[in-house]
Amino acid sequence: MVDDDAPLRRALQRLLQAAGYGVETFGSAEDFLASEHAPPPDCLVLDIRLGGISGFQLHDRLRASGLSIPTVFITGHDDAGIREQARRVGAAGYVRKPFDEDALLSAIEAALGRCS
Amino acid sequence: MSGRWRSGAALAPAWLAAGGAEATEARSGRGIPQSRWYVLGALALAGAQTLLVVGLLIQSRRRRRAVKALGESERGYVGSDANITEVKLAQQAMEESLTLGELATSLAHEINQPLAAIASNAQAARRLLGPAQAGGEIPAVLQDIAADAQRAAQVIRRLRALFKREHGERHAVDMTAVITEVISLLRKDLERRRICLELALPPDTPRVLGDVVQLQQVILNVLLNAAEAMTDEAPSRVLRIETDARESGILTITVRDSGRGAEASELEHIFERFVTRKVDGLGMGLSIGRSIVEAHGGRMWATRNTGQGLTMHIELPSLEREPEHQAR
Repeated sequence: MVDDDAPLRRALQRLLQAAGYGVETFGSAEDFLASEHAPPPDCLVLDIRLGGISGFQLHDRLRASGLSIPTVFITGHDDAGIREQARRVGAAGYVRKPFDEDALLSAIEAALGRCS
Repeated sequence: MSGRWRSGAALAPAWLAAGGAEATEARSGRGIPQSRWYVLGALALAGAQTLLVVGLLIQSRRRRRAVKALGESERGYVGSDANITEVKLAQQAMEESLTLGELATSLAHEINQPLAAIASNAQAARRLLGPAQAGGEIPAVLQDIAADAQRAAQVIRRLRALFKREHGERHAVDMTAVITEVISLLRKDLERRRICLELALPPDTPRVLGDVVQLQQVILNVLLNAAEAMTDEAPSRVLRIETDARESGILTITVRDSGRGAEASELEHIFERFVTRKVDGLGMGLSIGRSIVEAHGGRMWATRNTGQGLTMHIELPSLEREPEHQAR
């Protein structure tokens, strides 16, 4: 999970762990890229608006380097343009903040169910 | 609301015995601070909401006047017979009302972060409680907290939608047409400054999903900015506008001037608010332009030319008709 808001990272980590998932969190796209992840995560929960490299840019970079991780985009800034872009880059899911618990968890379930 | 107060008391009898629903000393238990912050948070939101609504009402009136001044046509295009002074006045009014929209948007985004944390924390807590507590009040309390965080977000969303409706719906916009319209509006001004215009606008560029009035504003701001950078002292005064759709899903617009340019260190700085070399300018054009572009899912940045001047780059996500995707 990549989100630049630390309290939200904590809250979301708690929620996802309580729901039974293993979660690793990062405060920026750069931190995520710099980390070792072998094997790569099964699913990426990615905030769109990040300081530095944006969520969409990170997604592009991963795709370009051959890593196709099912991604659920999250955002506090929801509008038609961004939703359209998420759809176009092939996001596995898109959930707006604050999260509807079921919406978020089913988006992650769907992402995990996809063949990458 | 009263049900929750009662259940709070049931949870912490020691606190209640000490006397007073709003006990000033926070005890070690988490029950008291939660409810107090909850009330404060609701009050703060109500206050912000009121301010926004009042501000919106004032600005929407101003904006309506501005749009009238622009000689509004069917789709809100700037009529080419409007003169430059009217346009500038309208632009100023537009900048002010766009600032409020900008404010509402960034406020919404900022508030959604802690709201999301509140909701996720409450939801996590409910899950962590486990079967032992499942029958008690706590799960219901936590559920209410999460639900009310959602309600707060709804309020914000409604406010933003109110503002967006003011600015029109989003349509498929032909940016070549927008650029051409703005150029025709500025043609006299460019001639007066003896600026040579170079256009590279290939046909059949994909359209962009957006608010045509806002996108027009962006182009107007960028072109005015470029034109004003090229004064009489400049050796050459060339304004080059180009669109590029070679990269799939992205429309790039570049506006290159041969003006005074800027230092490499200033290139980000020019997008900040209130930064301007103009004596009478508000200095908001580029900052608003970037906000609009980003709200459309795009990017805007400036680079220095190898020769003279700056190039402004605008990237917008473009709409493509792909056979396997259904139109919405």
